[in-house]
Amino acid sequence: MEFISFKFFAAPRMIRVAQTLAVLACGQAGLDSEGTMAVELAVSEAVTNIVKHAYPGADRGFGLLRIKLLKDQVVVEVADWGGGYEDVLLSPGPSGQTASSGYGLLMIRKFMDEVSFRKDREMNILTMRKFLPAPR
Amino acid sequence: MKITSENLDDVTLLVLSGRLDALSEGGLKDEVNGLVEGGRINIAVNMEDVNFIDSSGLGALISSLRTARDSGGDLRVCSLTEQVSMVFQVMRLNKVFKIFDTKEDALRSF
Repeated sequence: MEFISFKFFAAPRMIRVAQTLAVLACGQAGLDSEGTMAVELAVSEAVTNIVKHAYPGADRGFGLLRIKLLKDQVVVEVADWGGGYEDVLLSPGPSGQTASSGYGLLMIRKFMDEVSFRKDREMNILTMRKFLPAPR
Repeated sequence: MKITSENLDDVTLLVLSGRLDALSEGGLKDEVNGLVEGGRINIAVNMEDVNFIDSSGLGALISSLRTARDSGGDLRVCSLTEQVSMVFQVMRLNKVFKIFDTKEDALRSF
C-alpha cells in the first residue's frame, strides 16, 4: 500500500515536513520506537542531501518522498532530478567527503536494513527498507 | 533549536533544546565560536532536551569540539536522550566525545 507520495520544493523547511510524514507512516505500519527513529533519521538525511547537494547553483529543483507500507517492511523512496550523488552513496565511508553528506549516507546505511540507488531516466532514486520485527 | 548559556567559574554550560539538524547547526557553531573567541574554552553541553540529531547536528558538535580543543579547551556532552544516545552509539562517538550522565558530572570533570 502506498502511504505517501509527496513532491516537494528542495528547500530546508521541507526537511521537517518529510520527517513528520515519515513518523506518521511508521506509526501506521506499527514500527517500534527504535525503527521509527531510524526511518525518521534516514528520511532526514536523504532529504537534507537533496536540499544541500542535488541542485548546486541558483536553480533549486524538486524532491519526491514516497513511502510504501508492506506487510513486513516500510519502503522509503527519496528521489530528485538533480546531479545525483550515487558515488557518495556507494563509497565505503566518510573519508574525503564533506561531513554532512558522507556521515549522512553512512548513517542511512547503518540505520536502515537495505539501501539501494538507481537512476530512472532523469530521476535519482534512493530506496531504503526497514523491516518490521517478526511477530512473537 | 534554543540555546542558553551560563558561565560557571571557568566552564560554560550550554543548554540545547529542540532538534539539532541542518536547520539549526549554524546556531551551535556560532555560539561556540563566540564563546571561544571570548576566552571561554571549556564548554559543557547539556542535551537533555534535544529530541533529534542527524549528521548535520553531529557535524556542528564535532566542529564545535575542534574549535574548543584547538584553543586548548574541551567540549563535553551530558544527559543524552534516547535518540541522541542511539546515534552516538551507532556512530561510535563515545570515542570522540567525553560523555556524562548528568550536567553535574560534566561540570565536575573539567
